[in-house]
Amino acid sequence: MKRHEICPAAELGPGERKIVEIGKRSIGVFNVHGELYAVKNVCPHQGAELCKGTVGGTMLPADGPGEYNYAMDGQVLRCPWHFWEFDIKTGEMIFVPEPYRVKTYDVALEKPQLEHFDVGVEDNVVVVYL
Amino acid sequence: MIADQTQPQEKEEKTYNLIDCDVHHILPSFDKLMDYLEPGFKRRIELASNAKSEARNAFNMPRRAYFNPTSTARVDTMDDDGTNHASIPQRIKEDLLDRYDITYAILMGNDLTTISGMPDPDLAAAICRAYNDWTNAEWISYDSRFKHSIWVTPQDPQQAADEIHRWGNDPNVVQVGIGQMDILAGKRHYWPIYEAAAQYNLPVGFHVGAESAGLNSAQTAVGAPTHYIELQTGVISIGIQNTISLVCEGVFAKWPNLKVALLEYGWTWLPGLMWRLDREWYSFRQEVPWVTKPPSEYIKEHIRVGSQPLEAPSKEYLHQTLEMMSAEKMMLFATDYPHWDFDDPNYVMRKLPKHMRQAIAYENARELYGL
Repeated sequence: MKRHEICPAAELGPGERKIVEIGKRSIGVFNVHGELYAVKNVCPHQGAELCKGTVGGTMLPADGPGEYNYAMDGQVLRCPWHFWEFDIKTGEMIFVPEPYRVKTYDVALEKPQLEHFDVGVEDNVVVVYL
Repeated sequence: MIADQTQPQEKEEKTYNLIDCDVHHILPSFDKLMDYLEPGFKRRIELASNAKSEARNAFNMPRRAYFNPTSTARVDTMDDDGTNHASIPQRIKEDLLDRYDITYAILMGNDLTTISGMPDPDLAAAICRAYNDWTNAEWISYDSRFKHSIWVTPQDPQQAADEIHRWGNDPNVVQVGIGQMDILAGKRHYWPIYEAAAQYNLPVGFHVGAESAGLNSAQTAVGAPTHYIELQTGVISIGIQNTISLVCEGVFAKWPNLKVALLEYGWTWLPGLMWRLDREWYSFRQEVPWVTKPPSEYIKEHIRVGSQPLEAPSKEYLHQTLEMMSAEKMMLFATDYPHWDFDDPNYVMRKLPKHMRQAIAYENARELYGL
């Protein structure tokens, strides 16, 4: 896996996302409640730019009619085209059997490689491994 | 092609049993029902029936606004004096059960299909009680092959539930027949009925016939059509809408043992509906989170459809459609005796793929009705 620096951590706070191009690939990096995740920016359904969809929560499967339990706030990525819902943490389409899956990547916070940044930047940097 | 159809059919050994899920026994006359009606309600309509008032103001069962341009009964089931064979237990026994070696016939009745359009909920409920008592006394006791689909009417769903409680433990009662109002089948209006039916593990059956009767609209999706042929075909839209409603309102989530039989609403629409509803569920699951499985799974588990009228595209397309809809689970054989669009059991069985015959002819109904 190759290491790709994305941005200083300060530019990707909780609830924020950054869509970056790495080579020919478009990737969305998300900060979900302080944890970082990276998702391929292509919906497995019809190829929409998934990472441009809304991030929020969803309704958990309910025990009976009329019951709404909103949960997973900040963790659910909803495709801009057909509103399919993906779990940012796993890439799985949620609450459907044999779910579609969007590719995910490893993300980490690491020291910047100094030659790529001005000397003196001490903040951690978001990196993605492809 | 035409020559082929006139060839005598090959004799095949009968490898299936039969349960006929849609047999219409008929009141010889409305007077017969008066014998069973509670005195107060008898009085309520007897004056209106006997009055020399104009027919349009006299008591009538709700009538449909559309007329069948020919005859609603098979002409060979009618005697010259107007007697329908289906009003005589012995004739149904001989013309249908004995002739085709039918193991059980589900008696759906014929006279209350329009009662959901009656304005008075108490009178409508009383007529249902009388009808069920008549069926029980004069039909079910006549031949053990007759099984009873009791009639309830949903204007007052609590009275309908009460009627289910009256019959729920009768081993010969196998189904609750519900008249369709201008309310989709999944709506909470019907829930007391489903609650009671589920308590006794009885399936509920919706049968066409209430469209345009009394207070009811034509019940087709867009608006009222002009001709009988349009109405008769358009009832498929009612089957579709009711199926969507039952799943999305969560009826099957709430009563996991409840099954619904749709009789004469067609079934070729099932594959397309299941695909479409599943697709929409992928997008809108969060709106109905009690629908925790793809809708097609609820449909295959909970909805049953009568085979009659068997649509007859080419054999290839028919078999493909049956495969796509899982007919080996969902379809119930039905003749619709004595109606004009009767399906002959031998004809239907020849049309079906061999590996589905016993399931459709017998097993699905045996399981559904606990026979």
